[in-house]
Amino acid sequence: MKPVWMVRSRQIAQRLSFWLTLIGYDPHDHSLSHRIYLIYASIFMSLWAFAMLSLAASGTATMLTTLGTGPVHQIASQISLLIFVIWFIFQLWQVSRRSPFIFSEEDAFLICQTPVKRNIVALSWFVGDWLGQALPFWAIGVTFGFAMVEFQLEGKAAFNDIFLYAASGLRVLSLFLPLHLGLLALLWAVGALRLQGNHERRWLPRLVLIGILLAAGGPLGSISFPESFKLFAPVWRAVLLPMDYPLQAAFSIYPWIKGLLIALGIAVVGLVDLTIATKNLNLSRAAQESTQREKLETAQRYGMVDLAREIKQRERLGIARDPTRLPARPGLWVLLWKDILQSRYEIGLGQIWNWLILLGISVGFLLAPDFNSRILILFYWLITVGQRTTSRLRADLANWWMLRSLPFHAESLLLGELAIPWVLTVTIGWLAIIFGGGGLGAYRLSTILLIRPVCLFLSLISAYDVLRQSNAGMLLNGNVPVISWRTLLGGMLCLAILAGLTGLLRSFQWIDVFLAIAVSLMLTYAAWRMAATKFRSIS
Amino acid sequence: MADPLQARELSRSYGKFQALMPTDMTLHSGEVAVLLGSNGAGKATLLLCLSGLLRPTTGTITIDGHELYDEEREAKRQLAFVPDVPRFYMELTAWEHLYFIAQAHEVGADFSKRAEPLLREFGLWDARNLYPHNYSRGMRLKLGLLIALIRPFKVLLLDEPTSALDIESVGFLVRRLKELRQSGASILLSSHDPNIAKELADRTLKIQNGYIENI
Repeated sequence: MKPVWMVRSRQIAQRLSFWLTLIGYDPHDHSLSHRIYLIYASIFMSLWAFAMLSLAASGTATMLTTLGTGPVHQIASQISLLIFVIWFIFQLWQVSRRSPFIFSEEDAFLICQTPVKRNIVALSWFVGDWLGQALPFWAIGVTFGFAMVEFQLEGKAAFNDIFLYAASGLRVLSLFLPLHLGLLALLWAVGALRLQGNHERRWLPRLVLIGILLAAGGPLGSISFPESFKLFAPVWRAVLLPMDYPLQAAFSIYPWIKGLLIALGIAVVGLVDLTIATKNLNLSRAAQESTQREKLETAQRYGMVDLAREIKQRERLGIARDPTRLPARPGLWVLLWKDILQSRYEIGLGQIWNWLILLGISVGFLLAPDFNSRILILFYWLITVGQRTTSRLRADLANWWMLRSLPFHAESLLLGELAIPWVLTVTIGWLAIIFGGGGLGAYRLSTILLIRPVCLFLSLISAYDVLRQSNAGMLLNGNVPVISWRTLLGGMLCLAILAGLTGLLRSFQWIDVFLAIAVSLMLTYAAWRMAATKFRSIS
Repeated sequence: MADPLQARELSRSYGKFQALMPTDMTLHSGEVAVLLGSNGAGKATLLLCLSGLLRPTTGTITIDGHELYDEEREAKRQLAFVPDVPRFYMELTAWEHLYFIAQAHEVGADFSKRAEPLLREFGLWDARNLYPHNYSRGMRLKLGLLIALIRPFKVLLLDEPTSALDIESVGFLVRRLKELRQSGASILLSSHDPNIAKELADRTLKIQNGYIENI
């Protein structure tokens, strides 16, 4: 028990210390002043959390009163039940397909290969993960608890009512947490059933799927065919009762003590089940299924966006595929071939979502009601365009030895790397005009024509920004910098010059258009040369 | 005829640390030079500078008569480099990597005829449709070598090419390098293995504290 728990507790402490460092606390500094700072930070964060939850509770109270005609306590407990049921079904589906126990590569070598008791490892891992997974339920529980007081006081809370808030929040929390603990333990026990020995229990995910379909079929059926499904209603109620009773008790519909006893009972049953189910847990299999996920979660937790993207992409690509039939022309055209191929196999929901965000921002800019909002959205648009148009270049810069060894001029290479993202950005710009501005005809010709050079300028100035911060050492290790404030500044300057020109020469039909296009092309050319020079001089 | 690789007054420093002292270096046509040196002696720095991946602090590099930075396109057509830990495009399979490089260097219709025997020789034929991120370290190094060998060149630079290879592949590589030497290619490779130097080297260079000397 001791060595396993020692490792696990250190992992938990390390995660905690990461969050502490974000608020400026160094866990290795044991000085008195630093400890005082920790007390101060804890009080500050508690008050901040209290204020935020109160704010959320106010909105929740309003929502609860508008949602139904019944008593708010009843509605709150029903919503809570719905949240728990949806979460439980989703988690059940997940644990039936992949290991709930997530091990790092170090764990796989140091713990999974040793003859330690499997259920001790399982329980240690469960406790560590439960703390993190329970957080949203803490927040939801306290918010609902506060909302009950808000409703009771009808929005006329005084400072003395802080105890009422605390009591109500704690009441909900005291029932939410053991219930969540017990249900999560049951879920992990189901996950552990699949990971016994070397047998792949293929029937388990199927059984779970049937169970989920039945569970979903009940409510849907009772809506479509209320008469036929009336018979099943007591069954659903009986199945949900162990979950429903503590939740109703949390909102004072049933006695708190009875609810607590049931919730604690579920927690005990869950933990006992988990202990029994993990007696013969195959840790190696669990580790094989989860080390990549652990890497991904760690990268996401610590903000390593590129690494997280790479891990996800590897997982999505799989092991192998047939070679493409897309023909490539020799010479520079092969860059386009590579980009099309990369984009074809890179495209996923995340990528589509990123481009949709750009479309949303562009439409938002056109629909913004005033100048100040437009400027704010413009900042965001510039950053997003910079990020999107340099994503391919950044990915390829991580292959510095191959990119730099290609027999092409830096100017051609850059255009090859930026071509596809530029085309997409321009297309999105035009789509935004169609969706958000009442069609292309609603805009001056200069605006429509300028989208192309402006987007190209932004792509090149962002590329220059990335290249300016790069050095050969970091690129050879696969570390590529991201765009900085210089992209924003360059973009703003370009747009300010063009806006000034078209504004000044507005009365001269066509001249303003020609001049703005000429200036934008000159700026684009300058950015192109600057980026190419920087590419060549990376040292 | 000019030597395929000429470096004049080549030096490289990282801040105050001088990794490579100013040096002249020439690689003759059809010559194999082996670069020996302990860890951190400056082998990789020299190779990275000569390959154009790391800009030297001072000096000029000429590949087949073309200055590496002023006439980069022409110079890089004749220069191939394989690092000790090559990285690859994530979305391209091994076969597609070879095709990409071959087309970039305008190898043309010969591609399949060149690729298949190379892949078979290095034992990667059955793994040609795999993504390189699923390769072992040795397989990645082999793919890096194939990427260099798939296209024509006059100068080949290799950074510890045998460090992760199995004995059989080392044999193939040595044989292939000897063939390349006979066809007139100039090769500079770094290694910790004195047997490689014995078997291949027309000239052995030693690098220590950034200074290069002939042995």
